[in-house]
Amino acid sequence: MTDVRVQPMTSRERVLAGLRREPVDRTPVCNPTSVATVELMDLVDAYFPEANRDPEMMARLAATGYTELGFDSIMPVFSIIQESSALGCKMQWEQKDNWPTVRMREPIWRDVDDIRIPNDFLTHPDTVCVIEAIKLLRKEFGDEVAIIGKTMGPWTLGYHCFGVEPFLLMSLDDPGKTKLALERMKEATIQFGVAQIEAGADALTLPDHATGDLVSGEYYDRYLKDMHAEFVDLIPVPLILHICGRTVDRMNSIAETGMAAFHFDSKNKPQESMDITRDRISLIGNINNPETLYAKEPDAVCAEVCANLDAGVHMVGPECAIPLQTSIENLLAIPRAVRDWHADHAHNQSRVAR
Amino acid sequence: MTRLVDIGIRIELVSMYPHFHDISISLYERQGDGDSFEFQVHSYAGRAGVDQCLRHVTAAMITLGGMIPVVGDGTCVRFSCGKQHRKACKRIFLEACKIELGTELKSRPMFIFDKKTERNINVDGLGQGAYRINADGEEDGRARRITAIAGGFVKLAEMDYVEDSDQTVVFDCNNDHNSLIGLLLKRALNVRAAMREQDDSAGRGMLSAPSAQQQ
Repeated sequence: MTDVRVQPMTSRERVLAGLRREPVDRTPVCNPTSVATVELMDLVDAYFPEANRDPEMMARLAATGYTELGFDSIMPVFSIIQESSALGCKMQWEQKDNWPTVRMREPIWRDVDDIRIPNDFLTHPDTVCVIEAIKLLRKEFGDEVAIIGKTMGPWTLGYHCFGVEPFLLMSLDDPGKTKLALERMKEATIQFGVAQIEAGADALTLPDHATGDLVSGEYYDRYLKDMHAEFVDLIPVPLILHICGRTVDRMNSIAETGMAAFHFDSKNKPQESMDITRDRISLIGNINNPETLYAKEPDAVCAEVCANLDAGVHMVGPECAIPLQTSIENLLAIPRAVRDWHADHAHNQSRVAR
Repeated sequence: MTRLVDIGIRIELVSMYPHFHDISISLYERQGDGDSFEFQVHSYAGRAGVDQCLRHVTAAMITLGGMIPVVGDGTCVRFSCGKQHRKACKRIFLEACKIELGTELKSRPMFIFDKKTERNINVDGLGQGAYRINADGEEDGRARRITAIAGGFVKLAEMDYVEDSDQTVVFDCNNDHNSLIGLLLKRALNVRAAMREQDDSAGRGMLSAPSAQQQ
């Protein structure tokens, strides 16, 4: 995967090669979710919740991942709620130090026949914000850095629009109806994804929260595997599937979908994940958020980065959207650890050659 | 060209400083001259007036916590003993950030009325960083209350018990920190509330998967 003979690459080239599992000059530092923090908000005068709703603020805050932290990618879609807001979900926008959320206890749909993708779905301010932010970033950075968009999968939309409990109960009681619901909701995933590609996104993260705590590997196969494979055909950029939690029971299936990459949680060890996926899909992992990035110091971050690199993980980054209070020095430790690891290995290789 | 600064390890953060446009203010720790530790108050916010806020917070740390200024722009402090006392310093910073701009700063006395048990609590300095907690009133429950308050100091400022006593505590630097004891006394009365406040603040800003969100 990593080859010291590869010519120096731009950040964009590096990430795109990483997504294709092609040789890279060094392991890409990739952010498929969010690296926004309250301090970065201060730095560029772009605060939550407005930075989720105003394209210029969104682009300005997102750009810090590249310009300040030194990641190889920019992710402007910090949260997981943009399209749910456009679908009509009730929102809690919160304030600077917390994430906007969908009020899932006030669902907008109760039955599969209620599912409607509104005509203004792609002209709603909260989807337009993302599309315009991507255009701004593409204009500012050209081909320098990978710009990654985000479109939520139908399982997550099901939680947001039906509520977690009703959606899970439906999946138990009526698999046929559940499949129909997913089929109808996937239109939102595709429409929003394609709109971001047209705006200039190089790749898309596709979070679909069939998380290890509530959904089994068997469920993944039954409800989502084929649909995720279908997304690969219908959304014409590399897709990065994101599922939180312990997911080794479905990693083999995920590797068979054709997705370009799987962004995996620190509940899965890098080596066991690599052993399962066997280079059929790129892995992006998996620095722990609550215990390491939030609560420990740079040395601990470096140790986790090295564990990923030692296992041959294709791209390195936080396991999920980082806590908004994460310290900047812990984030800076990620690209630094990657550079140091490669420098050490190049040095060792040259010693062996001599 | 990055606008980030390398000023040490961030040990505490107030995400939304309530007295000035909800800016975030951080406390950084670094090694100073020799073996001493320095603490820098910092914000990435660029709006006019931020410098004044940072100097106010620093001044509050000096008055309330008995810290001493480090030569510079008025936003860096250390303990007189030069030691780390990280937990205590974090607590001083959090308390300093609660004080509104323009408020007259006063150090707090080493006595307080304990509403819970309706006793007067006072702390005697014994020298060399040791402090004994005393309470007046009925004998019944008195020792228990004193022990609980001593335990509060141990938790809040990483103090140690003086041997053979659970009512006398000491800083490991063996230096006196009277202002700090005065500041912590109110919190030591109800250390659980102080810890709860800390836990609540730590839980904010974590994004959970939809299935794990509390609605």
